[in-house]
Parts: sequence; C-alpha cells; structure tokens
Amino acid sequence: MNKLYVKLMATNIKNGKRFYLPYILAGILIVMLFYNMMAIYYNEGLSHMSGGSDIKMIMNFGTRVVVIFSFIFIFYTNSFIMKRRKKDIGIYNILGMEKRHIAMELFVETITIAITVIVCGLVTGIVFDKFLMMFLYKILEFETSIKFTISIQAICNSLIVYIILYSLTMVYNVLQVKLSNPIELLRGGNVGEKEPKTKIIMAIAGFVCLGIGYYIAITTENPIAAVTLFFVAVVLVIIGTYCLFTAGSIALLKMLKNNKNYYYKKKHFIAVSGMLYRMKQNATGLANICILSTMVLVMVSTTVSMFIGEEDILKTRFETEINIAGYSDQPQDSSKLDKIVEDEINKSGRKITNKYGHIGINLAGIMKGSELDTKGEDGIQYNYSDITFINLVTRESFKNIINIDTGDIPEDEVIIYSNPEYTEKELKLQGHTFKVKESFKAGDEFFPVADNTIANCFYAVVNDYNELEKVASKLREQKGSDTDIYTYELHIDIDGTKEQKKQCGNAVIKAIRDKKSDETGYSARMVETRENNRESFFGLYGGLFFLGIFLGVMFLMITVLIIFYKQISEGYEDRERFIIMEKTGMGKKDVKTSIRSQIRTVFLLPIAVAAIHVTAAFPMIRRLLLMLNMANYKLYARCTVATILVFAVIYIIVFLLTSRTYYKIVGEENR
Amino acid sequence: MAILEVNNLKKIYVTRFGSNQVQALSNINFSVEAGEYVAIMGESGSGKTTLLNILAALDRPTSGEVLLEGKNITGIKEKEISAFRRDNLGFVFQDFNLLDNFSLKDNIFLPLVLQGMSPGNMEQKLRPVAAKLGITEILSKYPYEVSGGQKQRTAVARALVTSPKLILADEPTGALDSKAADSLLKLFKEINDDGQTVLMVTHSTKAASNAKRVLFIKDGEVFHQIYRGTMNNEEMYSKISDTLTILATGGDINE
Repeated sequence: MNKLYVKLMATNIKNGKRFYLPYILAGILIVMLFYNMMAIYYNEGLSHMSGGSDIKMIMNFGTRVVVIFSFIFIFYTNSFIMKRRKKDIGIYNILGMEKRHIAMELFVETITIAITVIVCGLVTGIVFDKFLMMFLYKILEFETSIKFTISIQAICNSLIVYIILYSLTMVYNVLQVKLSNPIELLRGGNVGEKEPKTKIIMAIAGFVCLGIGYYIAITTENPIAAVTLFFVAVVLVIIGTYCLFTAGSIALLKMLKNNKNYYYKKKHFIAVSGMLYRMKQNATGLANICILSTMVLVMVSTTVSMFIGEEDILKTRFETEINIAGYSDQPQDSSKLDKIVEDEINKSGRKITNKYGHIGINLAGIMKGSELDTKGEDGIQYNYSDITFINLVTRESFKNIINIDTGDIPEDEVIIYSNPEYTEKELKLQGHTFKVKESFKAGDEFFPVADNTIANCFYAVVNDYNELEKVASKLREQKGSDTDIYTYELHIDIDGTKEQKKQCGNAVIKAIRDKKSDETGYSARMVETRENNRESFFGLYGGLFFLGIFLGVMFLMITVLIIFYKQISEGYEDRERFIIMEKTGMGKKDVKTSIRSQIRTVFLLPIAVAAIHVTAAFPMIRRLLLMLNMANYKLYARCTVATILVFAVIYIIVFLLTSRTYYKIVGEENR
Repeated sequence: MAILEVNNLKKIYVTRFGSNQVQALSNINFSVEAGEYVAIMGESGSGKTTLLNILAALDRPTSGEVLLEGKNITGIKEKEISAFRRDNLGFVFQDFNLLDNFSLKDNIFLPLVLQGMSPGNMEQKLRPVAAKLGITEILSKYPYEVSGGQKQRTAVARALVTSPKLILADEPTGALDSKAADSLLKLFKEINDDGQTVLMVTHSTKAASNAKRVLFIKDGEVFHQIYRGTMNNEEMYSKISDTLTILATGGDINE
C-alpha cells in the first residue's frame, strides 16, 4: 500500500513538474537564505569584529522578514498547486480511493517535498555559507581568513521554522480534501464566475489611505517624525494598494462598463469585460506583486546608495580627517591645543595637508521674529525642526571656514548667511541687538548637510572678538561666569594610508584625552576622526547593503514565481475564451492582440504602481537617509532610477519568458 | 434562387509529417435555396464537421467551390474572412460557446459590437429577437445562472441578431435534455417559417426530422437525400431511420 502512495506521488510530481519544480526550487532557496542569515547571526568570528554586532542585529531583523515572507509565499504557491490538483483528487475519489487514502497520498507528497526542500536548502546553505561570508567580509573590508563552519544553532532554527511551515501546509491540504465532495473536486476551478460587485466604500478607503500615505511621505519635513511616520505611511500605502487593486480597479471598470457609448465599442467591449474578469481573479496577486516590487526597489536603492555613498557619509559626518572641538568660557589662544595635535601628527610621521580652525559662539533656540529665544519655556517641547542654530563667528574665522572675506563690518552690525535667506532687519541675540548689514543665501557647501536639513543654520558674521564678547557677557550674566561659551573647532586633514591615518588618529585621541584642561587651555575637549569610525560605519551600512541584496534577491524571486503561476492560471482561463471569440466572428489577430494587451496591462500595472510608490516615498526616504548622514540625495536618486530600470528589465524578461508558457497553454488545443 | 451552392468540394488532410493523406471530402455537390431548412446527417468520420468548417470559412477546401449568393467564399482573403463570417453567417454550436464574463445581453451584442453598431441600434435589433426566443426576462443574467436550454436560445439569438443570410448549426441539440431539445427544434422551425435559411449538421434523427430536406453524407460524398414533401415529422422520422439503417449496413438504396 505504501508503495502505491509513493508511486502516485512520483507520477503526480512528474506530470505536474511545471508547477512543482518552481515551488520546490523556491523553497530550497528560501531555506538556504534563512540558514545563511541565521548562520551569520550566530557566527563566532563576527562577534570579535568591530561593526559585527550591527550586522548581527541587522541579520536578526532580516530573518524575521524572511520568515514572514516564506509563510506568505509557500502558502500562496501551495494553494495554487492544490487548486490544480483538485481534478485528480476527484478522479481518485471516484475511482474508489477513500478520502483518508487521498489524504495519505497528500501527506506523503507534502512530507517528501518538505524533506527535499529543507535538506537541499540546508546543504546549499552550508555550501554557500563560506562564499557568502567572503562576500560579506569583502563588503565590510575585513581582512581575516574565513573558516568553513557549520552552525548547529542555525540548522536547528531552520528546521523548526520550516517544519512548522510545511506542517501547516499539510494541514491545509488535508483539510481541503476532507471538506470537499468529489463532484466539486472534479469540477475543480471551473465554477461559474460571478461578476464582481462594486465595493465603493473599499475603493474610496483605498484612495484615502493611499492619499494620506503619500501626503505623509511627501510633506513630513521633520526627520525624527519621519522615522515613526514612515511605518504609518507604509502601512497606509499597503492597505491602499490592496483596496485599490481589489475594489478600485473593479469600481473603475464597472463605471466604464455602465457608460454604454464607451463600453459598446469594438475595442473597449472586449478589453473592459476581460479586465473586469482578470482583476477579480488576480487583484490580490497583483497587489502582492506590487508591494513586493516596491519593497525590493526601496530596499535595494537605499542600501546600495548608502553603500556607494559610504565615503560621502563619512565625509558628511566628519568634516575632515581629524576634528577637534574645545570649549571655554573666555576666547582662548588656540596655539597650545594646536601644538599638541601637530606634534602628535608629526610623531606619527604624517603630514598635515589641510588645516583650519575657527572660534565662535554656538547658540540654539527658537526664532521669534528677529529674536532668538534660547530660554526654552518649561514644559514646552519644541519641535526639533523649529530650532535654529546660530553660529556667531568673527570675520576672520568665517574666512577660515568658508573662504569668503566679508570685508569690514561696522560695530553692532552683522552679516548673515542662511538658507532660506534671512529677511529681518535686525538680529537680537541674548538681549543684544545687531543691525543686519547684509544677508545672503547660503549654499550647500556652508553647512554639514545633515545639520542644515534637521534645523535652520545661520552663520552670523561679526567684525571681531569685541563684538562676540557683547553676546558672551550677556550669556555670562544669564548662566554664570564659568559657563563654556566659546567653541573652538580645529579641522585637520592628513596624508597616508587608511591604516596610517587610523594610527595617527588614535595617537591624537589619546594625547588630548590624557592632557589636563590647563595644558590645552580648554575645559572640555572632543576629538573625532574619520578613520577610527570607518569600521563601525561599514558594519552598519555594509550590513544593510548585504541585507538589502539578500532580501532583494528573495523578494525578486518570489515576485518572479508569482508572475509565473499567475501566467499559468491566466492561460488556463483564457484558452476557452480564445476559441469562442474566434468562432463568434472575431478575427484571430484581433483576439490575439486584445488578449495580449490585456495580459500586458495586468502585469505591467503592479510595477508601474510600484514605481509611483517609490517616487512618492522619495522625499521621506531622503529625510530618513539624512538621519543616517546620507546627504547625497542625487546619488540616492540615481540609485533609485537604476534600481527601477534593472528591476523593470528583469521583470519584463521574466514576463516574456513566462508568456511563452502562457501561449503554449492557450495554443495547445487551439491550433 | 440558390443561396448556397457547393460544387465538387474536396478536402484532403495531410498528416503532419506529410506521409499520409486522408480524404475527408471526396466530391460534395449540393445547393440550398433561400428559405430552406436543410439537415446534414452522417456517421462520425463521414466528413460532416469538415464540410461545416468549410462552409463556415473556418477551413479551406483542397479544391471545389462554395458560393454564397454567387460569391465564392473559398477565395476570400484571410483578413476579410472574420468580417465576412460576421456579416453573412450565424452560428449555433453544440456547447453554446457563450462567454462566461459577458451577460446574456452582451453575448448577443458581441457580433453587433464587432460590426461597430451604436448602442441604440443594438437595442432595437435585440428587442424582437429576444422576444421571439423568450429570453427578454433573463437578458441581464450570466451564462452560469441559466439552464442549458436558455443558453442555447441565447446562442441562437446571437446568431440571428445580425440577420445573417445563412444560419449554420452544429449539433445544436447535442448538449440539451429532450425537452429543451424539442423546444429548440420548434424554434428553428419557427425561424425558418419566418424566412431564415438554416443549415444544420446533426446526429439526431429527431432533429433532422424537423428539417425540410435531409442530406446524408458517407465517405465524403452526398450519398442520398430526402425531401419532406408532405410528410409530417413522424413519417419523416421513420424515413430517416430507415435510410440510416441502410447506410449503416452498407446496402444500396433503390428507390
């Protein structure tokens, strides 16, 4: 008896290999990806690397995403295959197999597939593990040899997740048999198609959700709010997409159908009714494709742009190789601090290629007319985006920073560089009023971009220290005489390799940390160097990039398979319609072009909508990237466009390839 | 006047690899007068379907000609053939061939829409046809919501609505229960009484006994024909049965 089940299963899978093969291959790939992520998460060697913990965190997040999507995907394909199998099962039933026998057959089948998938997935996962680690280390610029490891924990986790998953599909399949009668099974998919009802409320809800989602994405200026609102927007857009694909499309088509003069035209007649039928069948599948595509696009474009822009990000975050800030209550002669730093650099054998320093007073508060309010009333939380940062500097310092000589500035007057341009006639700081001599629009080069977008930044340039002191004295009155008022910033670029720069940076950090306040002249000091932070940056962005590519591949593959299965089911649906239309007086060519264009619309719709989603998300993602110091939005735009193009090309190739299967099905008995 | 003339029609199928030739029609000759109701009978493999396909311009003969109102339809260009079929012929099929995603009304409208008629005119054309076929009440329903008989009436309505010169029916009662078949045959008779020319291919003696003339095809030739004359349906029925028996036993006909 057992042999019979095995035999039945073997014939089934062989006959249906067109459906089973992609299902099994996709399963293997998913298990493999899951194992690999888990293996990275549990990897011992990575724990010792700087940035390793970031990667582990990212991978942990990634595995959850993989789990969710493998559930959705495997259930979707499984139910598709079951639908196709219904007729066979009905025949078995009529030929005398009891339901429990059929259930047994399905049980054997599901177990065989599950074992194949899990075993093959784990084996390929283990084989690919080293290769992937090499790829990951390359991205992270880690230069260690990689040992071949098998992660027992990762294997256990994979087993648990996928055994549960396949057990659930088995329960689903067996229930399908239990709950059906043979006649229904025999008829399989050929149950009459009711015309879909218009769900106007759902359609409107979809529009509203999508509208609000887009509105949030486009108008949210505040990057901190953007982080939380981003997820709100994502959820709204997903709901909106589902509603619009299911209800919206049908409402629109019904409207066209009710317009008799439009509907009863040769071209529209076939197209509208055909699309109505298709959308009813496929709306959810298409919405899935659309959302998956959007995810792929956003994920890949952001992670790639961050990865490519890593150098930019470092440069944005760290103005020069070595950045030192010293805080003091009085204007200080910076030569002591400068000397310490320069000595250390020389000792390390590096040369200074660029050096500038400036002194000023940094103020932050809310602009009320022409006055900067720095008090911050109790109990009132200021919106971060309302805060204005004012960098009050002398003419000489400003020349050091920006390389613009403003010329002489009269007493109690100020020149302002800001974006947008400052329009008031005066600037009142801590009770002292300056007359605005001139104001200019500041270009991008003026500010570390991240600061500029998070809040409004001003450069307020005055003639000399006497002018600075007018504000400083007021500050001292308000906050006490020993407050650090003046900020000295020293920026130095050095030559050498990355490693040499790093060593030099470490020496400078150590030297400044070890010195006492009076040795440097500043009561508080801060040092940041680019190279010493590189690794943790690479850990984060490289890890995200790795995950982006990883999940991108998975989503893409799922999308491809959904397209494939959709094409097949469309083919079976269309075959009969094809024949009837030809018989009732429509030219063969007309039928073909009409159906072809419908199919094309159906499949291009999701990717077109995905592209619109990505475009709408652009402003918001740009702000989110700014939070991560990714200021180069042009790079991000290029990455987005490139990702969309690459994705579209792959999508169209897949579509064309699967179209061949479609035409094969449609044409089989037609010719 | 002969509305349809079939002269020396011959059709040879060549198998895919070209080695075998199968002669489906060897030499068919007959004509149909305007207002006639002709049934064509024959066993499976006798060439009935091939003949109908050629008459419907779905297939081309190897040689011979088919004249519809004096125009040779075997010479029509591929591009014009759909339009020709639409404008001149009406089809009724065994399995109805209604589109699931159209309401009955839209199914009937399909050929008119393809002709480019305006919605107003279409309604005008539909009304009398639907009334005659007794489907006015169910026009807004979908094929899966109505019975087989109603589906076939709809298909007949679709064939009639373009006022074709000739209706070609392929086993129209084949998928119907006997009651629905009877009422459909009655309908065909009524339509024919209104002056519509009908050509029906059938297996069913009952269906054929309704016709004014029955042609018998055997081995790709018109073997025999029976005219109704003054016979009623029952007499016609037994005559056809006798002929079929002779046909099946292979005996000669001596009348």
